[in-house]
Amino acid sequence: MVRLFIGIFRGKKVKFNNPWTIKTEEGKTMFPTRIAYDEWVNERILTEGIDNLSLPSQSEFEITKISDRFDLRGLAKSKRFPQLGTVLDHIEAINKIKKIVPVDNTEIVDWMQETAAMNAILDARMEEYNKYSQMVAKSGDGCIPGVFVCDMRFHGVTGYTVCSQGYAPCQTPLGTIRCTNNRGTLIMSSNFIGWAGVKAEYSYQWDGCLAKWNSIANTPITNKVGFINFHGIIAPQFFTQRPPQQTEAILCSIRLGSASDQSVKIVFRDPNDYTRVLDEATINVSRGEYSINYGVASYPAVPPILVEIQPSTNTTMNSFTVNTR
Amino acid sequence: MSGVLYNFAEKVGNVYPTRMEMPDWFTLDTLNRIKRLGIFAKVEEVKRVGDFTEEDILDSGGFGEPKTLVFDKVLEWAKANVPVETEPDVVEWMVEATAINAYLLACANEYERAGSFMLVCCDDAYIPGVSVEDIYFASETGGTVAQRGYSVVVTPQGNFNCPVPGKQTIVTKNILAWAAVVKAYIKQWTGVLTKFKDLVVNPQSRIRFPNASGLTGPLFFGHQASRRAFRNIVEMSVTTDKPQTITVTARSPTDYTSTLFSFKQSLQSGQNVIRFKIRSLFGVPPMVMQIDTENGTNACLDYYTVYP
Repeated sequence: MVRLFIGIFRGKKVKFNNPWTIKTEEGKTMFPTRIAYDEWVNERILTEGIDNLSLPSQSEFEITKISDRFDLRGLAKSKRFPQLGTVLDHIEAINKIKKIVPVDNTEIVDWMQETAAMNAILDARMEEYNKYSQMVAKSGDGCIPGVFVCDMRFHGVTGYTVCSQGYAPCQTPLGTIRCTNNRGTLIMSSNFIGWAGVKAEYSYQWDGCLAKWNSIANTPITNKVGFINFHGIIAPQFFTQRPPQQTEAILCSIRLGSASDQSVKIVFRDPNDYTRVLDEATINVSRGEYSINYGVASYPAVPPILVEIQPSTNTTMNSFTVNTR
Repeated sequence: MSGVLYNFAEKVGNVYPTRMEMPDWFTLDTLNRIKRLGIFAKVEEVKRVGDFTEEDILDSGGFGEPKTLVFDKVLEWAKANVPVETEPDVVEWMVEATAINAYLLACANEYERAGSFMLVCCDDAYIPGVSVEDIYFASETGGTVAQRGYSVVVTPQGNFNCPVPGKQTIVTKNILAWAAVVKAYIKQWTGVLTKFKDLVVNPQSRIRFPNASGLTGPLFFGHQASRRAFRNIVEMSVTTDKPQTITVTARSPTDYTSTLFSFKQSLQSGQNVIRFKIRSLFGVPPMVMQIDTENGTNACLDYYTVYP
């Protein structure tokens, strides 16, 4: 059964798919990932609308190359580390901070430069995404002093342990999750979305990154949103594909900027249960800006659904709009 | 559809406010009248009922530090366990930062057990930086902040100066937070931030006061009667390891910068039960309570009960 919760968002009374907080069975406070709905969205649209949904097949995506340029203009800068300028790529960020803050081996050591560079990237990505919604993310040494983001935190194990066992344990409201070393781990339940990145080499310290989506950005997205690049591991980004009004058919248009040849995975998820995949597709793009168009239909109306976009290299979401057909 | 009434929206402009659940009987009218005519609190009784105990407290749940209310014991544990001598990538400031994180995480766990949520962070504020949600320390070298005498805490509702070393309570219209600077080296400096994301109402289990190397932080929580009443009787218990004077401040739930009343109370070492009455001609509204303890003490709030 679908339940809707009333809340106030940007001064207006709105419906949400989840409450603000939930008490878990272990007595922990969990902040679910929320989607804000329009007035016209009701239980019927969220059940029958999702059951009758007609999503595009792989061949039905209309992909057009707009430009050969990969343009970083319009991306945010970290307010905390403004001297780094606009950075999307991890290597560029690390090189810049190494010049500004050199290692002295008494106060400044390697891992601090790398986590500071990652934090500069994360600050900028949060700034871009949080124009529409709320994502919180942080990087640091996962052992000591530790990395904590909202209701997620890494256990304080050493880099040696992470390397030997191959994963870093992360405490979340869903329990302890094993986050694979040198990989990104999507931490997802029916009402929770988080992401963890782990980069450990055989040393005491290791670099951990946690990201948590408190609420999902609704379309239209008209400002550039970059994808998190944590040591070359690209995190997915989530948006709500929201029809502008109650309608049986919509046309969606995504503009993506890609730094190099890559496959971008698009996953459509049920907003009532994020783990339920409605459909997915993979799109191949090369360097440049692309327009990706597709249509969606349903009865009695197209419901708002969660769209996960997972690139594999430096990527920007330039816009994501939804129009009635 | 179901809904819970909160004092602030989840996002106000670009601010993620500290929120508090409000009772059904709350009306804005009561608060507006109180602002004009006042609300009064009087301490009726203070009684020492027991010794300083460390029962029913929590630990950080990840660092392996001893379960204790005494910060110095956690610092001793960190000194013995953080391998500054043997590991080249572990440097001196990290020992204290680890102890502070362990202590503050235990505090956050206790706050969560009582029913709500606070965010904590201690790290080097230069690089990699210290932030909690939408609050962060400006990234400057330890030398710069030490020479100037203060560091800058950036919030969406303005900047706050935090003394170096020292502490600063951050109260804006809808954010409640606390910042502290423990030590400043040439480049590195240890910054501490806590932000109350969701306020616990009438906590009934033990919550320690934030403590960063002897600098103690305030505890914020909600005061709420079960119905509208002209008089509320409060019974609260505070356990402290040293005699001290605490400050109790009540704030408006619709504008945290608006103080409704404040008083100081001396406590003996051990567990102290304080009973006080709050009166208002228009009914006592739900309020945000702030309790401040003295630096250098280790204390915890045992419970806070409101009648009716």
